[in-house]
Amino acid sequence: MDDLCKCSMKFFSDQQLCYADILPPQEVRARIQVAVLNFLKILNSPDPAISDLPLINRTSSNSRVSESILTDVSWLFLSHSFCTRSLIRANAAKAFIRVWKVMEMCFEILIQEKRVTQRELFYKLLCDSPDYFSSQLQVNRTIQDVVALLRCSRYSLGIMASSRGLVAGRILLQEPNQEVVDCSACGSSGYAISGDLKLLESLSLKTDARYIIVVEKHAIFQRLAEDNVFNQIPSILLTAKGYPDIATRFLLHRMSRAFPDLPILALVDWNPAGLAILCTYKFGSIGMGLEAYRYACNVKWLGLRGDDLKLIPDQSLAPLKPRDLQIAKSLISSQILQEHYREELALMMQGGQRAEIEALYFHGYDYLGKYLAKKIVQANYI
Amino acid sequence: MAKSMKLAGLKSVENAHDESVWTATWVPATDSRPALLLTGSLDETVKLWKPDELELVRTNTGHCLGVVCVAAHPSGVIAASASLDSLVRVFDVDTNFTIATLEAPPSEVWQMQFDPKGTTLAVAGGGSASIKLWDTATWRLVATLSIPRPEGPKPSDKSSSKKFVLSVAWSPDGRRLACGSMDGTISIFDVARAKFLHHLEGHYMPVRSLVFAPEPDSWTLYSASDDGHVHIYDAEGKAIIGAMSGHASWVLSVDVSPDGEALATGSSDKTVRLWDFKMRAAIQTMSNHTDQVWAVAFRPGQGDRLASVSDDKSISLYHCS
Repeated sequence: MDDLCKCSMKFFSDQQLCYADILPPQEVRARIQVAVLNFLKILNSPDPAISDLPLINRTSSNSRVSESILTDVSWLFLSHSFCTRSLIRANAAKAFIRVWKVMEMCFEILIQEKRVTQRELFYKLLCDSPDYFSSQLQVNRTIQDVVALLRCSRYSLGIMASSRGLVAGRILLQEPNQEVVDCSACGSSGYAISGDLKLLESLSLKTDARYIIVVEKHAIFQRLAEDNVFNQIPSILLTAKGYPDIATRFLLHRMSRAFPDLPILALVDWNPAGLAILCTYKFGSIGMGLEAYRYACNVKWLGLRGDDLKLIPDQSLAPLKPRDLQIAKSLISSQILQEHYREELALMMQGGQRAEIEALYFHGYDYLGKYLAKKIVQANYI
Repeated sequence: MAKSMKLAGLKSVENAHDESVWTATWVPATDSRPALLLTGSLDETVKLWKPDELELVRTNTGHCLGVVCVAAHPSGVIAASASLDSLVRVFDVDTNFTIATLEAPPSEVWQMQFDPKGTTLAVAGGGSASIKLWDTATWRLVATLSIPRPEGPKPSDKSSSKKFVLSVAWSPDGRRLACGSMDGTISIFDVARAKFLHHLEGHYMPVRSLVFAPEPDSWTLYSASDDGHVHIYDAEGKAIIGAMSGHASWVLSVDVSPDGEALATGSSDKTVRLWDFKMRAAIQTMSNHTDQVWAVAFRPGQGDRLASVSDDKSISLYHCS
């Protein structure tokens, strides 16, 4: 009876969902203007006050899980718990001002109908307001504050995603009115995924691949592309060179909807960070929780997994670092991690060791391709 | 009795560039890396060096003529390099990504300096007899501070070429700009009102380098001239406080240590000298260079390092104590 209750609650979990809208520039400008007007109204009222800025809380305590019922995709999302930026608290006053400064910059950018990267925004803020901004991290965090305040996506603010992702393999991409790009002929460097989400939305996609393989590391992606593994196993290769950025996830999500029959398989290192990367593609993230849930995909864990350890020579195993243990702890505490993954994670922690995909080269440089082929043919992924 | 400073040679790199090294500046430390030395040369490249071993971090190419000046933003994130082709390239120090390219008419880009806050870049305008001010957030030209033309019997081009502006320096509070001209005059401007205030007389030959003393003596201005002397001025009171001699030839560069205790100069007599203010004389001479010393620069922060660069293509690093 308890289980039935729990199950039915899953149907309504989306009611708690808090999301960032994807809006055209004039609507975002309007939201900024409304924020300013509200602030002034309260300041100018008979009982004047400096209002705090209410931001959706981007912490695990405000995160929820949307479990797949009818589809096979689950995701993390944020609910309606708020934190505030206040001018009144001495140490936090600068954070409050930073939010307004970023809104001001974004307003100007939107009027000029430009798009900037987070780095370019950093240069501007560093030079315009040197007392308030001194590092890229501060700028990135403040941008997320603005997203949480105005409830509009980062891209809607005029800020492009970083372009770290690459695609190679059996897929044809075409920007409107441009030539078709054949990603199997791009060499080992692949096709660079743009940070402009609108452009990615407009790409036309065609493929004859049977699988999509998401690769954690650039070096592995390059090796697989160079060896034309995507011709031996008809596939599309994708990497974000580490933790995936929104643009790479966006494109993967588009591919998963355009080609729903293609299983998405992940190749990551045997360590908690590798699993965390897989989970980001699979469930989204809390840090960008207002947007990231949209791009969750049903990614399956191909390797490296516990049963592959027998293929790895002892000298390639290294002890887990403190950072690994931290990541493992936060993964274990996440409600979204399924049973299989928990078992693998427990195995990792028990063994206390980590291994990189490169360890498979011990058996020869072409071993990786054979390993992939064997696992795929055996449908050995979870 | 104030402690007296001393220099000790730490490291030199011969053939640091393929040609004369004309300019050097320190890029302040950021959260992720320590302070670095930036040098520019006639060989059209800009190089980034890591102290104390002076290992080469990166070489930036792309300028079409020799690099006359390099300047660093106080945050240490951004820097600019200017070359004889009158282009200023603004770039991210760690990635070498080009942030902006500023254009000016020929021979109108010489020395440049970011203001202490980093909101404005002042560029000595050479033949335009002015200083150009660029806003660093938008990279637009926001002001041109012109040296007023002297009243003369007939207006001629000759008078403006005498005011050819070579050097520029910001006061520590960012309110005053000083520039040095080929005829030896130094002009002081009020930045906020974009107004020329007055001239400082005393030199009769090109003033190639200027630097304000750090707080609290921030009206004190040091100047280096081809007449071989270093002058100490009160920039607000328009008076010359003192003059220091000792170099045998043109003084090409002057820099003050961050604590204001020491002054270093580089000269075409191939030496680097350290000066004592009380004695108004050089207390130490370093002669390791074999040709003109174009630039000297104290490391910001502790000021425990001094760098010098020369026509002999080498760069040297000294320890200050």
